[in-house]
Amino acid sequence: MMALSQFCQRFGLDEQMVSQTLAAQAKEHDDDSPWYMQALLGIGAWVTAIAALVFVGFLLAMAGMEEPSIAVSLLGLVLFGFSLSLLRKPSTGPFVGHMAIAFAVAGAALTAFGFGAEADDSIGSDAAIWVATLVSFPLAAAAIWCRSLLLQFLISSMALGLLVAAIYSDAEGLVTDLVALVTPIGLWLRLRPPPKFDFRPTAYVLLLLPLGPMIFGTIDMGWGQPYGLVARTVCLASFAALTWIAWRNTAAASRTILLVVTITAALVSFFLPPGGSAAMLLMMLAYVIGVRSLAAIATCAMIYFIFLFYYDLQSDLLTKSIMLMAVGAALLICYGLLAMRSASTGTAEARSA
Amino acid sequence: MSTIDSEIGIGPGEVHALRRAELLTAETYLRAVQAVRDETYWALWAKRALLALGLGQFLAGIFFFFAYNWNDLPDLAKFAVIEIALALSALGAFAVGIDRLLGKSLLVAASALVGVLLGVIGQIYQTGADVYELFLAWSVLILPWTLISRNAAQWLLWLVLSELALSLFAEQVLVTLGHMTDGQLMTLIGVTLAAALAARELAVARSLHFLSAHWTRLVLVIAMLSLMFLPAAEHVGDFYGYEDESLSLAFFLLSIGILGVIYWRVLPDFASLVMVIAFADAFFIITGIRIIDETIGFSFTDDGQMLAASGFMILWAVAGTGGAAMLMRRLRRELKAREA
Repeated sequence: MMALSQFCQRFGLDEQMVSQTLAAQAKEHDDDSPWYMQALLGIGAWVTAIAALVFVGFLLAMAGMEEPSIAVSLLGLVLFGFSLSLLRKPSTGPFVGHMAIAFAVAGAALTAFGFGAEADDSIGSDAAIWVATLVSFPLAAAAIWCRSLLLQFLISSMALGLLVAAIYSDAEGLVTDLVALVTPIGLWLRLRPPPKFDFRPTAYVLLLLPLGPMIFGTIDMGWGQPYGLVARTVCLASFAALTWIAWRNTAAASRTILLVVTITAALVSFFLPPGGSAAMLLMMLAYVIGVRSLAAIATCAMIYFIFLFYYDLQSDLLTKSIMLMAVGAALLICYGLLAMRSASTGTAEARSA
Repeated sequence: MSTIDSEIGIGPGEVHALRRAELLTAETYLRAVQAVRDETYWALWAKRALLALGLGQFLAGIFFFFAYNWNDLPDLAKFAVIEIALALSALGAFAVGIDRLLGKSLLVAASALVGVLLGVIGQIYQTGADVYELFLAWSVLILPWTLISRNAAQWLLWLVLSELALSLFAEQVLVTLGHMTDGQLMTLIGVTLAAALAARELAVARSLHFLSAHWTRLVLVIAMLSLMFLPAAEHVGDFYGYEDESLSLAFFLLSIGILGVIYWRVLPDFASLVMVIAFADAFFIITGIRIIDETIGFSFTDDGQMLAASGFMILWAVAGTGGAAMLMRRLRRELKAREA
C-alpha cells in the first residue's frame, strides 16, 4: 500500500481528482458486510432463484414449451435482460442482486441452448454447439457491461466452456494446444486492462481454462493429454513476459536470483504435465501483480495437481516419482539461493547500521 | 463532491479503479500495481512458496517411489522407513523447539506417522483389529505430544482422530446392536464437539492463548451444527423414512438457542452468529419443504401441482432468507454499537 499523496506525486496525478474518483467508487460498493454474510445471502438467493426457475419451467410446460426452441430462447433473453437491468441499479441489495445473477445465468443458458437446439433440428448436430457458442459471446459482452463481477465470471465461463466443447467435438487432438492459446489473452487483459470496464473476471477465466484438462482428466473423456509443442511454447513465452515485468521492478542486486528462479520455474513448468504448468504460471502472475486470492487459488490447484498426478495413467509411479523429486530439488536449490541472498543482505544492512 | 483522506492507503483495488476511470494509462497501470504491491510480504511469500513447493514435490516424489516399490520391500524395510521418519520428525521437533513453527509442523508430521505405522502393523501382521481400534490407539499414543504441544493444529488432529474412533465404535457396535440409530450417533458426535467447544472457550478464558485463534471456534461451531442439523433435517423432512429422530431434533434446536445466546450476549462474535443463523435458516427451508409436501405435494407429473408447490416454495425461501438477512443486519449494528 502507498499513501494517496505519495502515489499521486509519483505518478503525476491530481490528488483531488483521484480522491473524488476513489470516493465515488467506495460509494458504489457501499455494502461493507463481511464476505460470509454475503455468501449466506447469496446461497439463500440462489435457492430461491432455483425454486423460481422450477416455477417458470412448469409454467412453460403447461404452455406446451417443454423442449428448447426459439420461443424458449427469446424467453431466456427477456429473463437475461431483465436481470441485467436489476443489476445495473445502484439500489439493488445483495439478496436481490444474487437472485438476479441466478436468473441471468439461467436466461443465458436458455438462450444459448435454445438456439443450439433449433440449429440441431435445422442444420445438424455438428453445428448446434457452435451456434450455442456464438450466441453466448454477446451475452458475455453484456455481462461485462452490467458490471457484476460474479455474473461476468459465470457467463464468461459458460461461453468459453462451450467454445472448448465445440473445439473438442471437431478437433479433439488440438484441444490442449488451442486452450493454451487463450492464456496470453488472459494475461494481457489482467496486466493491461482496458479502461471503463472491469475485465478481471474474464481474464481469470481465460487463465484458469488450461486447468480444465487437469480437472476433466478425472472423467473418462480422453482429456488427459500431455501438452503439445504449442502449449509448452505459450507457457514459456508467458513466463518470459512475467519475468521481464518483474525484472523492471527488481533492484539490480537481486536480478540474478530472479533470473535463476524464473528460469527454473519455467523449465519445471515446461516438463510438468498439464495443470501443474498452469498452476505455476498463476503463481508467477500472483507474485508479479500482488494478488493474494490468485496465489491461494494457484496453491490449491498445485496441491490438487499433485493429488491427481498419483492416479494419472500416462506414466508409471517410478517415472512420476523421479520427475517430482527432480522438480522439488530444483525448487529447493532456488530457495537456498534466495535464503542465502536474504541472509547476506541482512548482514550487510546490520554492518552499515 | 466527497473525497477520501489523503493518508488512505492505495492498493491494487484502488489502482484498478483509477484505470477504469482512465486516470492511468495501460502502461502506467502496471507500474502502479507493482509500486503499491507489498514488496516485503511478496518477497517472503516467494521464499516460502519455493520452500513449500520444493519440499512438497520432493516428499511427494519420495512417497510415489515407496508406493511403487512397496510390495517388493521386505517387512523389516517397511518398518524401518516409517520408524526412521517418525524418529527424525519427533527428535527434530524437540531439537528445533516445539514453540517454533517448524517444530510444531514436525510434531504434527510425527503424529501423522504414528497412524501410518499402526496401519502398516495391521497390514503386515493381519491382527484382525477393528478400524476403530486403530484410531483409538492412534489418539491415545499421540495424546502426550498433544498435551505439551501448545499448537491448535495438533489439538485439531487429536480431536478428529478421537471423534473418528468414537463414531466408528458406535457405528460398528452400538448401531449394529440396535442401541442407537445413525441419527443419534451423529448427535452424540455433535454433543462431544459441543463439549470440545466449551473446553476451548474455558481454556481461552484461562489464558491458553494458543487456542484463541478465531478459526478454532468457527471450525467447532460449524462441525457441531452440521452433525446435529443432518438428523434433525431428516426427521422434519422425512426424506428417507428413517427412524424417529425427535431426540436429535431437540438437541439441534437447543444447540441453536444456546449458541445464539452465548455468541450474542456472553461472548459476542458476529461470525459465529452468522453460522447459527445459517443453520437455522436451512432448517426453516427444510420445514417449509415438508409443510408444502404434506399440504400441496411435489409431483413432477402434475404441472399445476408443481406450479403451486414451487410458488409457495419461493415465498417461503424469500421469507426465510429475508428474515435471516434482517436479523444479521440488526445483530451486526447492535454488536458494533456495543464495541463502540
